[in-house]
Amino acid sequence: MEKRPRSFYVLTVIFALFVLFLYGPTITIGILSFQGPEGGLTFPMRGVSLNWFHELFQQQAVGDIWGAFRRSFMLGLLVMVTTVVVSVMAGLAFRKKFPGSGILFYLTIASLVIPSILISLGVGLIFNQLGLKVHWATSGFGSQLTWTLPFGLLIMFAVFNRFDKSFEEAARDQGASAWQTIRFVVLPIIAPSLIGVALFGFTLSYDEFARTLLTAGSYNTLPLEIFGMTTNVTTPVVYALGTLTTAFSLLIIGAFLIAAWIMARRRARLGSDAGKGV
Amino acid sequence: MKVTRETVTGWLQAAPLTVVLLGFLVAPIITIVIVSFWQATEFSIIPAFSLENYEFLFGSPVTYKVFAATFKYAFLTWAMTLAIGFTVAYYLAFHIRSQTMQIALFLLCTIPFWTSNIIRMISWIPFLGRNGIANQTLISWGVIDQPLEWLLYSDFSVILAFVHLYTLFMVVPIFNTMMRIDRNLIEAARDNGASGFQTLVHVIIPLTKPGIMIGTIFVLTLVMGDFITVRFMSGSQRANVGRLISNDIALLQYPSAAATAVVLLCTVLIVIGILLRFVNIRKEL
Amino acid sequence: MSKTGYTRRSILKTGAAALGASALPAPMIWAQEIKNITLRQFGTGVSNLNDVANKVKEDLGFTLEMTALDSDAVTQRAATQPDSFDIADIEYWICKKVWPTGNLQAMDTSKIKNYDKIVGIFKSGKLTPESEIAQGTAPSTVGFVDGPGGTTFAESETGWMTLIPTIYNADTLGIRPDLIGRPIESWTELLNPEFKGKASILDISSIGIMDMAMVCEAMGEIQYGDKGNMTREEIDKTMAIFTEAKKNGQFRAFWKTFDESVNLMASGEVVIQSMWSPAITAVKSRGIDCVYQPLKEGYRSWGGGLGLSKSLSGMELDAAYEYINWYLSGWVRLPDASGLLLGRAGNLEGLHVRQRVGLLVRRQARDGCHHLAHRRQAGRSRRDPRRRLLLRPNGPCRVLERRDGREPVHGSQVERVHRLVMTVVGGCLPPTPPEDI
Repeated sequence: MEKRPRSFYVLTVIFALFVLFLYGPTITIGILSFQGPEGGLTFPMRGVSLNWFHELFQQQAVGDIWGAFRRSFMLGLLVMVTTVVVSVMAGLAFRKKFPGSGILFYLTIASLVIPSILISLGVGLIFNQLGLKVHWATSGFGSQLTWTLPFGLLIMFAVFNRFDKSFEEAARDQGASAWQTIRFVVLPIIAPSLIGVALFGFTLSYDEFARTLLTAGSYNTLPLEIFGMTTNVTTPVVYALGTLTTAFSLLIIGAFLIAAWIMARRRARLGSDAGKGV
Repeated sequence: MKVTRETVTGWLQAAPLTVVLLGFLVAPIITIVIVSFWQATEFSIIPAFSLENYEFLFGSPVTYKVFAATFKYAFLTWAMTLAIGFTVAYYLAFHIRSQTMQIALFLLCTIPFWTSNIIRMISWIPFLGRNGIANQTLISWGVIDQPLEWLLYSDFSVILAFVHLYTLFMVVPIFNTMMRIDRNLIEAARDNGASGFQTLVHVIIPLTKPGIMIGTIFVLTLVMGDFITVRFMSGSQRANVGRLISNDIALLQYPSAAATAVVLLCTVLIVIGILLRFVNIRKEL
Repeated sequence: MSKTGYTRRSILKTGAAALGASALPAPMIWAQEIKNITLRQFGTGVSNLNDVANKVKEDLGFTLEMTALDSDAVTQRAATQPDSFDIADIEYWICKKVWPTGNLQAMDTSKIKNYDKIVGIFKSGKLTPESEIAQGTAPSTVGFVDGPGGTTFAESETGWMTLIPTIYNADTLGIRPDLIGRPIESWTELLNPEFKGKASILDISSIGIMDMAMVCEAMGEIQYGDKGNMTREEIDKTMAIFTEAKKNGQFRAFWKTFDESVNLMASGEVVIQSMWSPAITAVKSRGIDCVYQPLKEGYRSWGGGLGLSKSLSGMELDAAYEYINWYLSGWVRLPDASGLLLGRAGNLEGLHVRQRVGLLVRRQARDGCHHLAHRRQAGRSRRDPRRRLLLRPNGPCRVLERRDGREPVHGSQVERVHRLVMTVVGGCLPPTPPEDI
């Protein structure tokens, strides 16, 4: 093995500092959420306890955390499924040259770069002018899609750019219809990437704030509730919530990773080399 | 007729995406543009054409200051995230040799991205406050006698939070492009006597440009559209365009908010338009 | 969550029943359907407490859904989303913005049982017959409309009330005496360079500018014709003075909800700021010295109440009236509601004291909200959940009121209200947001 250049060690230190920078604050509130019952929002720690986690499961004086959590979870699943389906379809569409594809592509990019508050404001205004009720499952759902779909589509681009067309040709040569080709050849090959799209769809929705702000209606989603709590709550309960949401996010990522791993293994067992390039 | 059929399939497959974008992107923007020409009272919107909002916007020195501040935040955040993001991606792509390790470290960097932005943001407050960890540590080390006031509720804390939130948007695309650089090119450079630094400047950086551009687009648009980080981290003391908009919304001045939003949108699109001249996103994915 | 509901409910049950029996007109008029009614209420975190909803369920049978928002969001929702609520818990200054939209309906005062006991400040505008009406949006000026569908305010009592007052108080500066170490007597101290980087003011334009006006007038910089209806010139001058101070680094941060002000004060980031009285109590409850400082120039008051959505009708409207009557009957004890149902001047606490025997304990809960418990309910066993109400350290209970009606926390309310300089108004926005760079 080649000897490491000196720059390696310098960069390793920089990298370690970067990771510390990324995790430092999360760890800070992680620690603070175990404050003793006497403790406040800042150091020093006054004892160690699970008091604030316990508090979190009590009814708060204002607001409704668990209701918000349920709504966010539901909305996340909805957005996730929609994102996967719509992105795959659009991804397939973009493999062909169809009139309008250029415009649609730039619209997607625009959707990604447009400041979130504009979507929030615009959708809120439309619903207002049309006399419709804003609700997290209608206006909130649509607004979030403008954020998750571009990510989904970009991932699909990355996937299809690396996709070996000869699989499809082989399928067609064997007499498979267009639908059969997609169903039995394309989809199984891109399946692991779809897990990525799903993960993006869920977590982006679950953490989405600005686009939901004016479009969620009477009932808060979790990020809106957290936002409310940061101004309404003066105890480490908000940290406990932070720690729990982080843990929950990690759990979700873990679940997706395991799913991807199982899929990869199953395919390895079946001995197919399809999708190696994915 | 085969072409037609393929076209139709393409359209059908693209239809759901088109519908969502038309309904929740194009229509809102059109609405905002229309409303920006309307008037408002303290409590309602009056659909009557007027240039008042724009006149007020362009006539107020506050607008220019706020836009300047927005650009300042965007530029400083961009510079910092680029420096950090490039270094980290470079380290991961070229200094870590085993692929498993690469993936593991990459995941380590991306995990915080999956958790709530607001939580990550407010995490800084107990750290930076007057009696926060940073100040207490520095005082106990004897580095300072008085707590540093500028750590929290300042431009410093705003930019720190931005960098913390958005560096990953730089790391990921740069890492992605770096991984696709043909290692033979680097060998070749070295064989031809290029120093490590020369290889970096003349081979790696030019080849990484598309990734840098994509990262730049992400960071600039996220920072320029932000309104919540600035509010939290500056204790409402600083302003950017997003806050101008959210303030107007809070005061029910929708037309005025819409006008500011239109100007912001144009600004962002111009910046992105310029950046897109340097990179073909579709090819780079 | 439901589990908690039970706990809290059982805590309150015995004692509340005891005092409820006398205070509550038993609402037995309805059949089973009432249980299916759900009323949606929204308002600020000061008064939108889940405990109130729990108690409503218990006493009245229907469901009350509470949403807590900041003042701006409250205004926004009341003015633009009439379908999203049934009951609006808003402040009086918001009235001017919301009423003309026609989203709310006036209440028939003949259906309000305790109407005659509501303090004069909300009816004639005078606390006592001798009181002078202060500058600003006096609640009485936006308190009535001509009929059930009226959108313009009437000048005197008409029998159709816009909001049923639930809460009012007089605000002043809050200070940390331990960190200041000298007496504070005037609003001018907010801009005293001595507190550079340690002052704060609230970031709700309509209220903030009133505090600013108090400061500017105290400094002798501006003489206002009517602070409640400033001229453009007055606004510009006020803003200029504060913009200057801000540029000089006078302020540490601005706050938008009273809990933010609590955090700023408790963490020591700020030592002097305009503040609401429940926030002071919240800071004190953590064992931190904090004073609601009476100032020689007087107080700035505020008030809020419940309004009904226009869309309410039939059974739901009846339920809403029932709720309002229940609200005024005495169980709800908001931080600043003491003295709301004033029988006669000078005896603000009288009514409550007579109604309730025993020592009233108000808990300053973890989020600065307030609950009520009978002391006798407080259990003895350490594990007894009822004991937590009193001893829970995150929201230590304090004895805020005593049998004799003294209010040891921040002075007698009547005294403060007598020294009122102005009430909060709406509709008087500064030309630029206060957070100009």
